[in-house]
Amino acid sequence: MGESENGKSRTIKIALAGNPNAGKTTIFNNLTGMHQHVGNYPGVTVEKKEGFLHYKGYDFVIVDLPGIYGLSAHSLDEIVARNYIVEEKPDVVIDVLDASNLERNFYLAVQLLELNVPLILALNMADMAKKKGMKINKERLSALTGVPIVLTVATRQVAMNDLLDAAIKLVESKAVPMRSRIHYGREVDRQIEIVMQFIKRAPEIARLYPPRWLAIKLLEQDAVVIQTISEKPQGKLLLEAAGKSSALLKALFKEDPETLIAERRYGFISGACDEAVTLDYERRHDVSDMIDTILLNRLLGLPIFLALIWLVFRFVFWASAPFERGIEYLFILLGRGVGSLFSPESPARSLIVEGVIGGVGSVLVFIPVIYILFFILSFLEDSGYLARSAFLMDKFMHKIGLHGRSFIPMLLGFGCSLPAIMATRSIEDEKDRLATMLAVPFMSCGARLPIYVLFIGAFFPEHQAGNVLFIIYLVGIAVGIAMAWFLRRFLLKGPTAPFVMELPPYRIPTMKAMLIHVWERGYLYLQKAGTVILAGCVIMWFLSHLPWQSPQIENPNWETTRLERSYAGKLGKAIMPVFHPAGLYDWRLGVGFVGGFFAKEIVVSTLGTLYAVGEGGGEKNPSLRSALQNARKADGSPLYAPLSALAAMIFSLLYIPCISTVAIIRRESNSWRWPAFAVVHTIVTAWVVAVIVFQAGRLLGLG
Amino acid sequence: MGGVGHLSSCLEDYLETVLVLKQEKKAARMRDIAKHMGVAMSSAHSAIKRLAEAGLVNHRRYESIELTEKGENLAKKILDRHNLLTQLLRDVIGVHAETAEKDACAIEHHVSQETIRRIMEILPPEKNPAEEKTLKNIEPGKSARVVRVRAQSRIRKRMLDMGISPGVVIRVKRMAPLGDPMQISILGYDLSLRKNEAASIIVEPTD
Repeated sequence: MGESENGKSRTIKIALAGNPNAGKTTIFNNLTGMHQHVGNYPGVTVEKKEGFLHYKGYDFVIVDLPGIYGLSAHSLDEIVARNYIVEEKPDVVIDVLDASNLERNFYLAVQLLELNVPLILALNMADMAKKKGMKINKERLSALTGVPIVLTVATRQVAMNDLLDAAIKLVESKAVPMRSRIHYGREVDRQIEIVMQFIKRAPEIARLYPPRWLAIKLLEQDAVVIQTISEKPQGKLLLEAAGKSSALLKALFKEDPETLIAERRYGFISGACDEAVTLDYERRHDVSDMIDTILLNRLLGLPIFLALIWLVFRFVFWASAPFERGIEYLFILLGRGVGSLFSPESPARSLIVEGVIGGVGSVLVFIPVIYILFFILSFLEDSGYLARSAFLMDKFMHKIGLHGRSFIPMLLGFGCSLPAIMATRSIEDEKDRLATMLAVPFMSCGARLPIYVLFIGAFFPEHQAGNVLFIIYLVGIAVGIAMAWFLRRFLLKGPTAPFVMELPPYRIPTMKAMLIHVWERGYLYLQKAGTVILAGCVIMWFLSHLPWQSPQIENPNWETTRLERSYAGKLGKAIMPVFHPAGLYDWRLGVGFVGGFFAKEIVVSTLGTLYAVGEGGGEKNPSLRSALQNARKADGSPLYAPLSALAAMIFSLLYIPCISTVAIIRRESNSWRWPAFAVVHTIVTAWVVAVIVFQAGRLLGLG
Repeated sequence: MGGVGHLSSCLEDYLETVLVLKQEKKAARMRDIAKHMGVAMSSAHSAIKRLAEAGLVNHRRYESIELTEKGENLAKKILDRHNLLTQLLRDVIGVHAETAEKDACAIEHHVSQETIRRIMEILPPEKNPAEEKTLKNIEPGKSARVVRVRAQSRIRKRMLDMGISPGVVIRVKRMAPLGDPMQISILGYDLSLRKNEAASIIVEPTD
């Protein structure tokens, strides 16, 4: 605790712990408002949220720990939360419990009691508990556990200050709290004592953890604790003793010590609840149960889910489109305004207008879709439906080696890979999450559609257009699924994450929680991904504008010549031989592919520029179509046929969607390794599939 | 001397050790046997040789020791008797579990078949694994009480965290439309788990 000279402004550091869905984040938001900072715990992708407030002359620093069910070493979230509590030693730990679901929530509380930290229990959703007919005797429960208890209703801001008062009281009272101790039965308690004797003989270890907690963890054979202890002097001796005790208990009870200990904890909990909680209700048919009978219905469940997701999908991209156009328009105006300050021939003008302003524009253009999508996603999550959607889709996703929660991100990929990758955060298991993240880009996003429209329009008869488009989307899905399966099977090998998942009761989300969630996502996107995207845009500008050539305003084909002579143009030409096996010989397409790395929209506009079809050379422009149809090789044969057009579309579909995707994978995987892998593997996959399609088609006599 | 076969108590212990090691480590090696029994390698060697002569084990040099069919049956009987006595001492007489284990070791070779039969009658029968019901077999709408959780460590831990521990009553609510994960109600809240996870939870139906 920091103390300033006048002793007035003191800092109290509070860690908020608790089960997911217990209202921990709502309490955090209530306490800190917008004074939050979102980051990562060092070295891992677990989010760290810190907030600040000033109350009664104290400065509070509040850390919202990840939502957890226990303190074991089986999940990253639990390890992170546990390490924070043990190592950072916050002045107070507030455990937020869902009072209406007290027994299970108490399991974590019991483990925190054992950690012997300054603890306050916040029994949240006290109103829900009351509605359920639970009467909680706060004083009795407090006496049984030996820690202060506050009843709260976070959604209505009830008793938020009481929490802070309790924290101040706890910090100021120097008295050592009387903790009730859980008895694990004679045999287990004896082994705990024995291990504690060994711990006492190793002072360096005893300093690290509370001895009783450490003894219990060692009997449970906790992997992380064992790792830490084994590196200390005398650690080996202690581990040996603990291993013996653990094995003895196992032999005696024919049961893992871990299970034994958990059983006793639940025994203690149910005893405490019997004493302090009275139930007087005839169990009404819960509203949540009623909603479930419809939304999880055998026949209706899936159609409702698919319809709902389709609506969300349509709504998000429909509602964000005008904003996107507005942003684009604003940046064009801004570009013109700023551009007029420079001479039209200066390279600086081009760099600032096309590189920097254009780059900032392409960062901001994603903002509407991210905001709107995450608003709806956080509605789905907070309402309890997101967990249900995983429940509905798990069987299917499990078959391809993923988790039910991977479905929604994959689906969102059809709109835009960026928010889809950000949405993988709801996937708990790190490997599932990475595999999903790397499969998402294969889902054909909106930006790729113009390429298909152009090539299908130019090389396929109208009655086939729909089928071809459908095949392309299917190829994307198939490759995505194959990739996820391949990754989980080989590169991201590991046990399947269990599907032991809470289905929280349906609730109406609070506006505040949703807005804060949206705000965080937007902030993370802008701060972390935005900078990379901007840098990418500037690099692309250099590639497509250097070596510098003075603009020749009078020459109508000047843009074409300039692009052809730029590094990007040269690069496009240089890579083209690689595409010969896919039946592609058009160097202009090569330049388009290079530009498409920046954003897929650029493929079509690059072709427009290089074929010099003038302004408005969009995908539906008849002159660009006929230019492609009439393009000839040196020997006079056509550059494109339907089959090579298909190969071109498949390659465009499968290689990395855009620089922003790379940036967001970098941000979400917290490493450069995975985005680099994504770039390489999507390009290789795209090439392989395009070549296979072309060669197989030729063998079948289609080309 | 009582006993199941006509082996000395010392050889009975060796046979039991081979079975225990096989169950725990998949293979019984001479070194492990000696260590487990707390004897020198040479003693273990001669004992195993005598078991081999009695046709109870097969042993070739440098290979692990295999029980013959006859040997395995006998070893199982000895082990059952040991467990039965431990259970009697611990659960009925009420001595410490460790003491029970130690004393059962000492007594087991000297108990008559009649005594064993009588003990089996008074002890609560242990469940035959084949008759065990798992949560997977419970139909939607029905409830069951958890007897034990047999899942592998990571999943079991998760189940314990979520409240699936012996004695807790679970009600199966429904299967997902595709037929796999199931929705259950436990400790007053809802949980989902896959059928193969449910298959590791041994239960007894309550209705």
